[in-house]
Amino acid sequence: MRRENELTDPEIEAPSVEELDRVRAEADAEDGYFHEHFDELYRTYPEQFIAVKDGEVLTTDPSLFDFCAQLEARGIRPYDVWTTFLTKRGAKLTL
Amino acid sequence: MIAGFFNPDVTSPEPYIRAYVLLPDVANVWIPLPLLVDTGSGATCVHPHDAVHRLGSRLDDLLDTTRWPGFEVRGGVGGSAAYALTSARYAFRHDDGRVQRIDTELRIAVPTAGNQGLPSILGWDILQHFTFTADWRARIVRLEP
Repeated sequence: MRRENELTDPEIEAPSVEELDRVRAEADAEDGYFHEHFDELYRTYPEQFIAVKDGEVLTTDPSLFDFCAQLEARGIRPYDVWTTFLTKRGAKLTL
Repeated sequence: MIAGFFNPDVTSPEPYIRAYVLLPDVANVWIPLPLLVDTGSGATCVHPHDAVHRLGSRLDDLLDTTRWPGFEVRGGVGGSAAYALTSARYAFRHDDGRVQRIDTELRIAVPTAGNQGLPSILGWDILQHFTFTADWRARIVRLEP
């Protein structure tokens, strides 16, 4: 995820497998949490954005604008916590 | 071969591939990004939740199209949608340990009421480099060179 003050090197090489596996491990932990708890979270917060940190639900909202505003009001950036959109509407999507 | 997966939280087939994305105009970090494979899309697009959560964008920045190096309106079955254009480097991890890099552009959707929770999608700008297999019965999703 983006971090403040990180500048871009114009000569960026392809990443190493080790680098990709490291960032993937972080993402897998997040995805695994939401998959493991999906049913219980969806029952309470269907079709909503949810932010979780250390197993605690920080905020939920069906609007991404309001969701981000609530996080910002608490001094939390959306990329510093685990978040997802709890939905089962995939089968109804026509992209 | 790049192994993907079907979304485990839904009962209908949603094939995903995990890409790693670096946006040279934003930050020098590789970001894992699950992308719903959409063979009806000509281009790879990030939707607003992934933009703020995974890429670290601000919603206000996405709404201000003058901040982005490019901008375009694309059509779809749901109507037209606006996207900010930025250069992007993609990396794909093969199961044999190779890393394949593709340099192209990324489209980031301008937030609307209808697209906030949409998955980000992998379109033909990337798919054209691979053979794509999705077998729901065998639960296989993969890209092959």
